[in-house]
This record gives sequence, structure tokens and C-alpha cells, in this order.
Amino acid sequence: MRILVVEDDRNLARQMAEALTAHHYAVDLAHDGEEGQFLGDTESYDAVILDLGLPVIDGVAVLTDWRRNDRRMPVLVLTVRDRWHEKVAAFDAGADDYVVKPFHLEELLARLRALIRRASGHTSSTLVCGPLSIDLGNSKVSLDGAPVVLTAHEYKLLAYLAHHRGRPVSRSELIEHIYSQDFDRDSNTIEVFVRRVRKKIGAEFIRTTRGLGYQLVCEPEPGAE
Amino acid sequence: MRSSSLTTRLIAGAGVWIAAALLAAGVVVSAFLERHAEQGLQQRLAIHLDALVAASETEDGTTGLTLAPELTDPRFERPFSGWYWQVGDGGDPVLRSRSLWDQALAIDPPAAAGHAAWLRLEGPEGQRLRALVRDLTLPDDDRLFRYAVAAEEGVITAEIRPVQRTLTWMLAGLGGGLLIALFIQVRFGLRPLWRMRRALGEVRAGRAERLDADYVKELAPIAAELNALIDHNAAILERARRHLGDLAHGLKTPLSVLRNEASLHGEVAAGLVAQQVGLMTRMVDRHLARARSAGAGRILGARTPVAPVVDTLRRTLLRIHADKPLDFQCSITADAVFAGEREDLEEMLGNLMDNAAKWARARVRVAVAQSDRGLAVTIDDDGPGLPADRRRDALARGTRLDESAPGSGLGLAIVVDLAKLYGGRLTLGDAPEGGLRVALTLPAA
Repeated sequence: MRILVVEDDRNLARQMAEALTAHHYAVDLAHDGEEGQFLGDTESYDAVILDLGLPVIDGVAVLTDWRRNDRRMPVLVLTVRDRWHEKVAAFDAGADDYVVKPFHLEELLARLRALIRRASGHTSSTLVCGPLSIDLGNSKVSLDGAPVVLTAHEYKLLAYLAHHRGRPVSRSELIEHIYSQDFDRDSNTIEVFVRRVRKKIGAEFIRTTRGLGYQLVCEPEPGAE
Repeated sequence: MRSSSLTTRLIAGAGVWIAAALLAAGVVVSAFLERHAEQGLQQRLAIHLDALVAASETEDGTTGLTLAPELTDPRFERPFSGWYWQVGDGGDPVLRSRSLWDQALAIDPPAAAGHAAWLRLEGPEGQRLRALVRDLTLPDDDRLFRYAVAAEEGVITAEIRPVQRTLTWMLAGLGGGLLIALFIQVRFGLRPLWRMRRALGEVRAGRAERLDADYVKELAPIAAELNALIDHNAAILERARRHLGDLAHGLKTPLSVLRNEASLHGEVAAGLVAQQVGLMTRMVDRHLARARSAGAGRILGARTPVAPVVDTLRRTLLRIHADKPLDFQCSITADAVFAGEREDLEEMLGNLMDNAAKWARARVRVAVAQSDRGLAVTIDDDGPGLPADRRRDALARGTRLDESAPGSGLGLAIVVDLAKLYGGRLTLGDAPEGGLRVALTLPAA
């Protein structure tokens, strides 16, 4: 899951980036409205945390512009503006959730999780896929009740596939959503991660569709790949 | 004196009228004088004419006309003196005064025979004359003689000029006197205004608290308004000072807890920091909210239709609580109007509706009714509700009923503060569906 954080307070941005990274998110940071708007327009994110009082371009303007350009990623507004008419303005501009500063990081993470889950059409914080169960709250994966130990990148890959299990996910889409912007991307590593995850949960859960990508399968036929 | 000054306006306005009236008086009196002098001249000339007629004698059988004793007035003897007489047989002069010398008066035929005509004539050496002319026949003679007696116009002018001069000086003196009186009157009339200005200066300088009550009838309401404004300012200042004091005191406690903890143990437990910071945050929020709303209720005539506000909030809240399948219904009488600022209404209803949505299991009902007594807002949810003995606490300032639902206690405190500011009130009760009912009543628009 790749997140864009647009926040002009560098300390707060760093704090959030650390917390998000610890929860297996890939994070891009922008410190003003212009940079944030550009990243949101050109990169592909699973969610955006957007401050409203931003230098150069105001957050509401950034959000309005994204929605006008048909950028539909879920946006969580994080701001000191706590009056209702300000909330209404943000939601009318296309916000999906609203957290008022000062905030608890845990609350922010929980809201972000719920937002991403809702955006991909899931209602529970635990994604269940046949015998496979992925707890998005604590990033734990279990197979038939037994915990599966995954590295951070392996988890990101599996979680992304689980969110979009209705369709095959291309290798380039996986790259975009697993790595942050400044990461040295190599598409071959995706194959390595897929191979490792298959080894840990069973190869039949991840189906390869030639030319389209990988898809998580919840009731696999044994032996299929 | 500046062109926009009250004194200038008053003096200029009255000055124009005074000048016009004096000028008109001068013209009328002067015309009257001239007419009077002219009539006097006419009468004198009539006497001369009668004397001339009386002295005329005709000799039978001759064409001549003689004057028995000549007119004795020496002015008719001196050549070109300005006083002339002439007797003509028809148009031709037969006899004339010595003053005419070798000239004759050219006289157009007068209007009607038998009546004297008052004419303007041109005399010798271009003199402008007034003449009394009369055609008549003498006894024992059937010829028509034209008698004319004339005097120079200058006689009239010379007679009235000294009077005119005196009149002009008198009118000018009167005008000057009136202007001075006017100036004094304006200064006197405006004196309460200057006094008020000085008094305001005293208030601003801090030497006086408010304006005196004893102003003239026209200024008394202004003085009263100014006093109200001064009081309002003082009240706002006082309230701001009190809030600042409350805030400072409130913050000092958590700060000292943290400092003591740090000095006692060398380090502070994270939980304690979080708790105390939470306390301070709530305090800052509440005082900020109060500071924003301070004085808002004073805005007179602000009217906000309720329905659009509720609709907007409902839309926003459905997105905020998108995790829950909420059945969120509002029924509002179309004419419902709140007598105040839109933002304050949004603040009150937003907090109340948000609380309801937060605690509701599945249903929220908002009803707004307008009556003569005011606006009644009822918000019901089907959540756990609140036991009667805890409702008072819930409305008390800043109390937080449930720490896991951030902001709930604070939200109610803000609503209570705002409602009070607008003269309304907030009550908690039981909803028919088992949850909490929040009733907000606000005064009529």
C-alpha cells in the first residue's frame, strides 16, 4: 500500500512517515501544496493524507484539482481546522475522511486502514480469503489459524493482492503500490517476492495470468498455479 | 475652515438666503424710491404746464400766441439748464423757453387729446428728458396748441442717489450683523457637539469611564449609543481577559504535573504525558471555540435558513461515518430560520448530529420545528443512550463521557456555550427508540 503524505510541518511529516513505514506502508512525502498536487496527479497512491493549511497551494484547492482531474484515490484530511463549515468544505471538495489535529497516531492509522479497505470494497479489518486470513490492523497473516511469518515487502505484496483479489494485478501496478517513489525499482524483485510468498502460503493461492499479472485465489484447486 | 464642516454648511446655507433677501429688499426699495421721485417731478411739471396754459393768450386775427407775464422760474431762462418748455401750433413750435435757445423739442403726438402725456424725449446736447405734453385749444380759438414742459432725468437720479447710498449702507450693515449673529449662533448651537468630542477624548484617554447623561435632546440618543458601545467593548474585553485567565490557569496544572514528574523521577511516563497533553489540548480547543463565538450573538438581523445547513451536515456526516450503514433522516419545516450566524448554527448542529451518528447503531432522526416561541431541534439516535444521573455531567463544561470517542464531551460543551450566547438551551432525554434525545431550543428569529 503506497501512501502520499502532504504535510508542511517536517517534524510531524517525519513522525507519520516513520509510523506508516512501521506498518508496512510505502510512503512519499510532500511539504507543500504544489509538490503534493504534482505527486497526486502523476503517481498512483492507495491513499493520501492531506493537510489543509499548506504553503503555495491550499489543501482544499489541491483536493478539488485532483477530483477535477478524476484522481479518485481516498483522501484523509488531517488539519487544525475544526469548525464544521471547514469540514463541510473539505468533504464537498472530495475528502473521504477528516481528522483534526492534535491527533493520536493510532487513530490516524486505524482511520487510514478503514479508508483503504472501504475504497477497495471491503467491510472488515480482517481480509479472509479461504483458509488465508490477513489482519490489516496488526499486519498478521495466518493460514488455517497458524501464523505465517512474512517480511515487510512480502506482506505488502500479499496485502495488495488481497485488497484487489477480484482481478489480476499487473507487475507494474504492484511496483507502483509497494515501493515508495525514491526506491530503486526492479520488476524482477516482484517475481522474487511472489515466489517467496507462494512458498510460504502455498503456490496455488497466487495465480499467474499471462500478460495480465497475478491474482489472489481464495478457493484454489490443489496443484494449480 | 474645511468645506465639509458643519459650521461652514450652516453659515453658507443661511448666508445665501440672507444675501438674497437683502438684495431683493434693496432692489424693491430702490425702485419704489425712483417711482416716488418721478411722480414728484411729474407733479411739479404739471404745475408749470398749468401756469404756462394760464399765461397763454391769443390775439384775434393773428396766428401769434403770447404769454402774458413770462414764466418767472429762472431755470427756464438759463440756456440748456435741463428745464424747458415749449408751445407748438400742431407740430411746429410757436413759443419756447429761453433755456432751449435755438433748439426745439421734437415731440411725437401724444396718445389722446385733452390728457397730459408723460414722455421720454431727447433734448438739446443729447440730454435725456422727461416731458409732460398736452394738446389743448385755448378759449376763443379753435387751434390746437401742444404744450410741453420737460426736465432732465438727472433731476430724479440726483434726488434719489443720497437715499440709495444710505439704503445700501444700511442693508450691508444689516447683512454683516446677521452673519455675525449667525456665526455666533452656530458656534453656540454646536457647542454640545464639541463637548461630546472632548468627553469621548477623556474616555479614550482613560480619564472618564463613560459620557455624561445630560446632553441636548438631539445628542442624547447618540450619547446613549456611544455609552452602550463603550460598555459592550468593556464586556468583550472583560470576557477575553477572563477566558485568557481561565486558559492560563487550566494549562498551569498539567504543566506542573509534568514538571514535578520530571524532577521527581528524571523521566516522565509516556502515559502521563499523553494524558496531560490531552487535558491541555481540550482546554485550548474549548477556549478557542468560545473566543470565536464571543460576540457573535450581537450581530443583529442575521438570519440563517435551517434546512440547507442540516442537509449539508447530513451529507458530510454520512461520509464521515461511511463505515456504518446509517439510516439518517431529517424532517424540517420549510420556513425554519435561525436568528444568527450560519457558522454558529453549523457548529451547534454539526456537533450534535455528529454525536448522534457516532453513538447510533443504525438510525438517526433529526426534527426541526419552527413556532412563535422559537426553533426546536430534536436529535434522536438508537444508541446506548445516557442514564439520567449522568446527563448533568454530560452538559457540564469539557467533561468527556467516553475517552474512546474523542471530542464528544467537548462538542457538547461548545454547543451549550453557543446556545447560551443566543439565549437558547440544550436538554438531554430519552429517544423513543431507546437512545439519547438531544433537544436544542433557540429563540425566534
